[in-house]
Amino acid sequence: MNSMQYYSPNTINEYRKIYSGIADKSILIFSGGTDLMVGRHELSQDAVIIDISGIAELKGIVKKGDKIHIGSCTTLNELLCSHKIQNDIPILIKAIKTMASEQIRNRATIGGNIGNASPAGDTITPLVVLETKIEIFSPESNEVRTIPIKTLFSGPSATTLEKGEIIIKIIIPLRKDEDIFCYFRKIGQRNAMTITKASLSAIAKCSDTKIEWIKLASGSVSPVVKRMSKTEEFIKGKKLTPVVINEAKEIIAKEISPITDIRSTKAFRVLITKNLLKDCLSALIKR
Amino acid sequence: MNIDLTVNGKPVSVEAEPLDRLLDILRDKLGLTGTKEGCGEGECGACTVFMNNKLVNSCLVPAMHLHNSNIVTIDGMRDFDFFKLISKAYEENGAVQCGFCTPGFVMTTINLLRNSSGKSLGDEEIKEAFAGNICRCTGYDKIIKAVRQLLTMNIRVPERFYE
Amino acid sequence: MNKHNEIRVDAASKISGIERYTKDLRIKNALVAGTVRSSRAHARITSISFDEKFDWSKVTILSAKEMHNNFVAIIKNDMPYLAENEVNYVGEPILLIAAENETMLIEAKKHIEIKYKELVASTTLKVAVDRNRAEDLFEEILLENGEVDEVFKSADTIVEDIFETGFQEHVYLEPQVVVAIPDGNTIHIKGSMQCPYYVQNAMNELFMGTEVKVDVTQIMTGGAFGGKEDFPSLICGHVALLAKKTGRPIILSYNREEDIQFTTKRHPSKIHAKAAMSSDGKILGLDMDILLDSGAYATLSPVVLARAVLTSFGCYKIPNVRIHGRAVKTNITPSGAFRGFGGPQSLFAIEMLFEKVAETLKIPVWQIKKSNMLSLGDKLPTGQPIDYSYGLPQCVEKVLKSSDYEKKYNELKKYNENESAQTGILKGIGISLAAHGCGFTGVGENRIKAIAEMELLSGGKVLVKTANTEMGQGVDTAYKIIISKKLHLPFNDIIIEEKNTSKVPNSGPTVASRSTMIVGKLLLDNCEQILDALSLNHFEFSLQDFKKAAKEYFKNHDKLVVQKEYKHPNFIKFDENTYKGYGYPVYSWSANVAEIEIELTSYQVEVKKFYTAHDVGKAINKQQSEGQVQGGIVQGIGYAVYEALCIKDGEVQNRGFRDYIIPTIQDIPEMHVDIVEDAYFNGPYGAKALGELPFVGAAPAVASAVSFAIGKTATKIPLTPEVIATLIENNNYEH
Ligand SMILES: Cc1cc2nc3c(=O)[nH]c(=O)nc-3n(C[C@H](O)[C@H](O)[C@H](O)COP(=O)(O)OP(=O)(O)OC[C@H]3O[C@@H](n4cnc5c(N)ncnc54)[C@H](O)[C@@H]3O)c2cc1C
Ligand code: FES
Ligand code: FES
Repeated sequence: MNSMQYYSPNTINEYRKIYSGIADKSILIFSGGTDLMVGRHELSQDAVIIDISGIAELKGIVKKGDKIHIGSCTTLNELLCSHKIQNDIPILIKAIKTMASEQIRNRATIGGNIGNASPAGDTITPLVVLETKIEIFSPESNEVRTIPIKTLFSGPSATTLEKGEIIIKIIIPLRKDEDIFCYFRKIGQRNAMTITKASLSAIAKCSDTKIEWIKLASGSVSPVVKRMSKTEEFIKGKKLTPVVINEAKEIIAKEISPITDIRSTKAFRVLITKNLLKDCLSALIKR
Repeated sequence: MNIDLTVNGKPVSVEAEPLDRLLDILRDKLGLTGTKEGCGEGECGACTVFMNNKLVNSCLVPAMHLHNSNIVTIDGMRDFDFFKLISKAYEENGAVQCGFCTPGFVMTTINLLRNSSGKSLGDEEIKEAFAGNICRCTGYDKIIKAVRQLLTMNIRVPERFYE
Repeated sequence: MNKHNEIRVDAASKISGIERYTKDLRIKNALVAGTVRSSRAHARITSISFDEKFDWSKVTILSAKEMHNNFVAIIKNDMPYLAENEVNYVGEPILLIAAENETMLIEAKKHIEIKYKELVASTTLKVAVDRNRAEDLFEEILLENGEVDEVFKSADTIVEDIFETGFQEHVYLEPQVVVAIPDGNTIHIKGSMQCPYYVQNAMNELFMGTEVKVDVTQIMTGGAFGGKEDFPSLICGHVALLAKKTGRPIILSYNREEDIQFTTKRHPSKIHAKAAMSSDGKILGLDMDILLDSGAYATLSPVVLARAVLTSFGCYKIPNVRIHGRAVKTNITPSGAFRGFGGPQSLFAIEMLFEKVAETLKIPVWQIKKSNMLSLGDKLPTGQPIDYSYGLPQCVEKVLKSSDYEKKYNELKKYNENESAQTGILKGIGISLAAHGCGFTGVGENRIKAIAEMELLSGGKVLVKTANTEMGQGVDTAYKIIISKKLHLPFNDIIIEEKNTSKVPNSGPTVASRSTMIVGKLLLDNCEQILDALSLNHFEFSLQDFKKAAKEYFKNHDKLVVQKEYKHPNFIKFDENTYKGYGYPVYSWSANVAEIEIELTSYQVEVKKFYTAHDVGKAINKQQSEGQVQGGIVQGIGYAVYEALCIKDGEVQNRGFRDYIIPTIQDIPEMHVDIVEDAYFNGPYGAKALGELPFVGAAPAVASAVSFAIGKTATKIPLTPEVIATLIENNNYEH
């Protein structure tokens, strides 16, 4: 058997050059490899591997004005240890803390978690409620385009990325409002090292007794992670009474479309998504 | 492809396919069999090693990431003074049964001791540190005990090994 | 005992990674082996074709056609090494391949196509039972005592339910691995295994009538839990056959996916249990119908069922009993030995039946259990009197005290009534009593005729020869402690012989928690024999005296080898037809209390605290005894709460640790372990069985606590969140 062809560019420009040399072949973008190595025997032997983890431009966390820019090859542990993220994006810290183990987080990248496009990807729901933008580089056009993260996914394990396009940056807007409530909770099969059965991310702003706005995203309960906009709309401007919470639970149940798989059942995922919403709103009330 | 790296302080050069696993390179090419394979999918931690001073699962590290890297395995830890203390604590607390998970737990212990110098950790924090290490024999309790004891001993673990 | 002596002899080498497990052996010139498996649950093989595009000269293929003795010698000899015409489960081995490397193996497999004609398959226990075919019944047992029908007619209340337990995978951390090394007419087998002599017997049958001789060596084993009891015979046959055919050493190592899908599992059970109760909560009669799902081949099912039957009455005095047990064939991966061996299934049923009784009669469960618990001198339904080494009352006393059970029981009742709606958390406390029959069931021990051997070496050291293997349970250390205490020798002077069938006698398999109690006792007898030979037996002596006596001995002799064969005390008899008599020579006992919480957002059962007291006769190694107990509890919690094997059309769907969920360090409770020592007269220093017992009582204690929390009896495990939600929300959330 032939060995797999592979390249490891050091710059985005190098990536472009390599790409144009092999554009006719199927390519495999490789970052930390924590998803790809698990299924390595199933990878197509004809694909050319392009390992982007050595591209320095894809690393690091910087604050630019009212935005945080995260390089796509930044590891989960680098995010976890970053004071910028800890201070400005606590919801992401909450999510990453529930992810995998020290060993995995040292390798797994945020770009990989997004690129893997799993509805159970745990950084995705927080990024979606944060209205994150994704910067994408196309080697064909040698251009960078920026899209809202929610338009990146086209199905489980499928993205709208064109061939050769790579995620280069994750851009998270910082909110000026003070005192924003944030919530992340994932329900898995045990306390550690677990794949999400259902999760919920939320950020919200209250004034007096009312919810000024709320942004919600549920994980692992639809083909792609998306905002629960009907539920958001319903809650907006309301006071969180038990009746409102119950109604909101019914609305979110209709917004999701979970499946039964080895980890759980459709019915159970609906049930716990409703529970998560209640848990979230109760926490919001307690504040 | 040919890869130059440092393993347990020694420069080595190995021939490998891009997606060959560090685990196999260590065990089969370099004869370092202290590192174990329990699952091959990042879940059990039996294959834990240090790569560039960070704890990783060697079953998930592809050869192509190893250029110029610095790998330290359980087989490279034996001569350090801190290792002797760890060994003693594991032995005396009965933290070992079948032992297949043990090298991995020891690597995570080293990482924890290194990262927590001066801090006092609660059981929850200890448990978080070992989330990626599975043991089917001991029920974990005696491992936690050993680690708890080690954490009170003010053990010095260097920031970097073999550098 | 000197605390230093508790330290395992293998701890240091395991910690430092020096210890060699099978895959760590460097075997020169070896080929790797792989298995081509059935993709059907039940089918006739119509054709096997080899793609011409592949260069088949690069690999060696072995099929059933080339074999003359194609059955794995276990109990019924019904399982072939390789399926020839018919396959009986998804994953059944059909062909073996030996290749230079893993990549070549994978490539070769891709170029083999097998065609089938589907046959009717029993893909669930229910289907198999409904089909009701005599040939599917691997074993049937009936144990009757007293007037069962009468007592059910006249009882104040009859309480009944169906109790179910699931498959469980062992998840020894070292997957299955064996090697075969040809050497002239001999094949040396080495591997990760519990019972080298089981493998030896199987190989003798396999090569019966040929020139091939086999010896078997156990290599340090990375966990087993029963999973390396019967299963290795199959794969040792595979490597031996390939070694014979190729003349090269063969390594067969399963990856985790193969191991989870295709190795033996704990038998699932479905138990219909009925209790005849008096109004004051005394159990008058028990009628139980036990069904075990054996999977496609019998393996050890008959003896697993025997233990299930003999454990079914738990720790209670029940005057009238009818236990009917059946082990039924299905077209699923075969079930096999697993820590507890049928006991956990039926003990779960009896313990939860009492839970149901308590719920029905509205009497606190502990009150019911206490008032029916065996007293010293009572008889089991087999007629066996419990008149020695009965430490259960002491265990109960200890665990009630350590857990503060009665107080918490009342507190938590109040909490659930008044506070749980606020907190969204239900709490529960549960209690279980457990018994484990020590060693083989019935006359098994007399059949095996275990032999242990000891040799005095010059320099006054001893060489210990048993076939009992170290798989993590600490047997080597236990043997050294036993011998050291008797001969006053330091550990270094006690040498444990390699577990190689050409070097050690057959001291029986390392199963049934028998190694310390039975073989440990033989070793103690061996020590006596040596002391007799050295004329030291009737004196106080020191290490120096021993060494001097040994030196003296070798002045006149060149060798001192002593042997001892095990036999039960004469009064220990068992009738295999009526199931009357001594099911076991003695029992170990435990009392367990679990505290759990269920958070009503996730419905996850979390075991917060676990208290247990174990009567093991004598803890030869206190530290490691505790370790066994803790490990067993956590594995039992896995069984009770997390570990769900998903079977679809007969095929195991789980592929690895990501979807077969076992407890991590973040899922364990705070544990409190008390050891009670009510000595057994025929065990070394009074020791009886330990290894399996901790597992047996764990799941019922957890399920009892769950029943407390949700206010009704939990009748099946695992109690996954989907099951809990179904119980609480009165709607189906399960698969
Ligand atoms: C034991 C274990 C536990 C885990 N636990 C969790 C968990 O709790 N939560 C969770 O969400 N995930 C978990 N994961 C999954 C995985 O670790 C994460 O998805 C991780 O973030 C992937 O990053 P990576 O760099 O390793 O990705 P890779 O494996 O390198 O790549 C993953 C996919 O993304 C694509 N890709 C990578 N980078 C880019 C890019 N810049 N642009 C476009 N496409 C790209 C790749 O082509 C590939 O398809 C776990 C995995 C393991 C093995
Ligand atoms: S073998 Fe690498 S984590 Fe299990
Ligand atoms: S000691 Fe056996 S897995 Fe940990």
